[in-house]
Amino acid sequence: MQAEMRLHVELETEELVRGGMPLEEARRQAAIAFGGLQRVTEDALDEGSVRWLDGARRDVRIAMRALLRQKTFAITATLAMALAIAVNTTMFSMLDGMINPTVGVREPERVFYIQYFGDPRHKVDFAASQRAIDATVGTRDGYTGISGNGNVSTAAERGGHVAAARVARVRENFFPTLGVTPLAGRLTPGSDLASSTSSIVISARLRAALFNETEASVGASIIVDGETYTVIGVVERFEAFDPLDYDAWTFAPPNVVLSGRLVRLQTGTTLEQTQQRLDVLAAQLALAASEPTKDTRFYLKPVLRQFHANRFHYALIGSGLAILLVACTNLANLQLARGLTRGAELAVRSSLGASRRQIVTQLVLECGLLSAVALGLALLFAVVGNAVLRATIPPTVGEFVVQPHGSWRMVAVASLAAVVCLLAIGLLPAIRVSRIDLNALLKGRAGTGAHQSNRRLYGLLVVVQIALTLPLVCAAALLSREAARTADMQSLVHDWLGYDPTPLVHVGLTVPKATTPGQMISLADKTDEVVSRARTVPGVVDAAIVGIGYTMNSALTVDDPDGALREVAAPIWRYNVVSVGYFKTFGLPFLAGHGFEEGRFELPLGIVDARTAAYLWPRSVATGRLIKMARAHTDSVSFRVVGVVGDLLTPEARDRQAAVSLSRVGSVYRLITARDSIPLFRRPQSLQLVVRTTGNPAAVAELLRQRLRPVSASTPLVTPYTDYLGIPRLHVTSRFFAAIFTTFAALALGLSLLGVYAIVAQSVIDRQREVAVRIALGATSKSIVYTLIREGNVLVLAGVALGLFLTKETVGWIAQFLQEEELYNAPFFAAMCIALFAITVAAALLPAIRATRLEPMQVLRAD
Amino acid sequence: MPPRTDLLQGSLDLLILKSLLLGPLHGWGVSKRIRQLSREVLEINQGSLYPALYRLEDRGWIEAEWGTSPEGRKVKVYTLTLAGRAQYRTEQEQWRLFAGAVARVLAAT
Repeated sequence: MQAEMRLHVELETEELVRGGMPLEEARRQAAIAFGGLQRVTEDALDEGSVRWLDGARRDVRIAMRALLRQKTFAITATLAMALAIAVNTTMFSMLDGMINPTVGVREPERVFYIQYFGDPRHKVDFAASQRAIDATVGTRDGYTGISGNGNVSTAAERGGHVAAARVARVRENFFPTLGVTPLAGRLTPGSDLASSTSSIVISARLRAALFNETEASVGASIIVDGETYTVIGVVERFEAFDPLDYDAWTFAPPNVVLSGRLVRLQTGTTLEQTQQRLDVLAAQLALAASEPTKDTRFYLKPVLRQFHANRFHYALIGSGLAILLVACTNLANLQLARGLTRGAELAVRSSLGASRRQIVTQLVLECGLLSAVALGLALLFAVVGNAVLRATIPPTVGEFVVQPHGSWRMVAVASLAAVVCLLAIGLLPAIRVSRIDLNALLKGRAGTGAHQSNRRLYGLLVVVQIALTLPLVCAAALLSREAARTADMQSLVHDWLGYDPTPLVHVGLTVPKATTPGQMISLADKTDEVVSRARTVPGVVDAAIVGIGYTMNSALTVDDPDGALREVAAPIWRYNVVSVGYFKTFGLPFLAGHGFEEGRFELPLGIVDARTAAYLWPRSVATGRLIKMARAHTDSVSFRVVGVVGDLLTPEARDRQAAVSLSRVGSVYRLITARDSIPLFRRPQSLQLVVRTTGNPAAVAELLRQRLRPVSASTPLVTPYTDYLGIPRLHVTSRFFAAIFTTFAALALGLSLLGVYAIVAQSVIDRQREVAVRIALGATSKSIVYTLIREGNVLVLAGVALGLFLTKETVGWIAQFLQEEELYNAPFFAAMCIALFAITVAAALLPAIRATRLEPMQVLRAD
Repeated sequence: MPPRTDLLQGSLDLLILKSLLLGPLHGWGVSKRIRQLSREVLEINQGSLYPALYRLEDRGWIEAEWGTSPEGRKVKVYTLTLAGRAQYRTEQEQWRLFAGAVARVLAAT
């Protein structure tokens, strides 16, 4: 616009020159005739359609100038906002990764398990039901099957490489039905039965464990559970999608019934329609078996693992929001203080005719600019944060945390957070600042304490900050303590395990599959064979087979010294079936009686722990008593207690464990007898061996594997016992969570301290005349400092009190990572409160001490 | 040179529309054409010309476009739109009514 007007003046000048006027004079006359360029521009802007745009541009320029004048504020505000937005965005991208997981399957939400529900005593034919489903649902929708082996891992081996793998058996149409794309090879086996049953599809993870990067996996042979398979394809493993949460998939012959029936609803078919067809089918099957139709049903259960936010996720979301709130509160405070100190400037603008709307617009625009820059920075921080989180999330952290992933939703959330910031720190304080009364402002500047109402508002915001910070600081401290505890093996032994796992090794062995139906082998023979071999390995102290026995009817029967049988209600479902060397292997001391002795016993023998002994036989010694893990009238075998075993727990830890245990019966051990046998099934089963070494478990692993290979159907899986218990995993996980919450706490604390510092500093500026008068009248530094922070102390204390309440309400969100008594550790929480109070007061002291160095004469003269 | 007269309130829009009715012009051209047509009697205050041009553009009576003058200068050229022509006729009619009325008043004896 100004170019156009300049042209006007030039043309006018030329015209005058043509009329005979000297150039300089012509220029002067043309300029006088035109009037002020700026004024004409503004008048024109007020008339035209570009008014808004140019006006906005001008406002932005003014806002930028105002921000540049206060660089420290602008940088602090932008960084604080960016960090708070980035924390929220990163937390969201992680939750988004859980809610919308990547599963590598076409429309995973249309895939369902068909679950059969019926009285197990009924005669509905399971195999027939499968054929019937195939014939009805299968003709319309995609139908396939899968049968996993629970969470039991088996050995997958190739050459010298052995890896633990979760294996599933599937129908031939499994992968095409799900719509899985192979990473390599193909996903359907050959049409003939032999090639079909010897084909295997493996996950990329298993491929990496068994093959070097340069080796071709497709077409290679691997051994899984002692059987040789040819790899036909490689797929990605997806934990969020059950059918693909395996390491290997073998193909079952068509006549084998697979327990997991999967249906993919075709486009156009609704869940209700398929459910109706299944209802009809269930009724037909029930009628065919002469069973009541109401007891037989098929249910459709989504396969895509549903994300259920648990309390820990509330902790993550809550922490992110708390940081955002602290940042906003802090900045609102700063903005308010800044707005009020700029009162003179705003008053001048107001008296020159700026409307309240214009003043608010300018203040909001300043924040808008800050928010826009903060949003850009926050997205950058979030991308970096996501990368850091992805790199540091322990692979075994379970369902608590998944790798964050970026999406348009992440940008949306970040923008939303920026808008929240803009509203909180821009609009609200701007409206308040625009309401200022010029008289009050002038009086305030005179130092009469008229700022008190503003200080009350600051104070309220400080209370909120401290209150939000305390729960984060407590969570960080609790989780850090827990992480330190999990790193300390001695503490784990004495507080949790009761034995030292470091010299132990766990060996997973495989019992071969049956060659004839109903085949059994003797457990005692197998134990002898395995344990005697293990004991010959140099560096092995002892070894024991560990199995599980199950109780019946949640009751057990004991005899008393007078011979009377007594039933004891005990919600205990399992006991340990162990070989002779068990107690020596675990290094457990005997409190009474003795351990099992070598040799074969027809009469079953048992050992109980001290807690069980005291509960079952409170008035007599436990040794010599009989115990049956069932009710009295059943024909379960009784065994005689020969010893009472202790542990390495501290008495406090023992009490603690007893307090949280469901049953007052602890551990019960029964020696393997000659009558125990292992029934063989169509698929190999696992057998657990624990080995005590003289020191370094890793050193004996290879020898053990070689020595035990002949007595196992597949290569034995040898794992250090600490790994088997998941202790390194636990430690990594707790350290990870401690790190996350420490970051949160550091951010919140930093922002709060900044807030407190800024407010006291502002208060010092507001009251500097008062302080100067006091100094002039002979007040000591101590009394000045006391006066300045007295007000603040009350606020901090109020904040701590509110924070303590919030902590009490929210600490349960992280309870699953803590020991229960930590949640009620009053001295700990008190210490946290005192620490927070002290740190905050220290932040307030800095500007207060600076105030004591005021030069009274200068201040009073300046006024 | 005859004495120059300030514009009567409300007549500027009409004069601009009229000057553009004769052909597209840039801002200075509009001012010059009005001066010429009024035989140097009417002098447009530049402080009023540009706000008026923007106002007329905003109402859709004239259109503006940046172009190059025969001397190679970058100039903003204004053209009358169809709506502008209609507006010109309306304003011209109103002006005649007004001028006639004033003339009648002054002619009264």
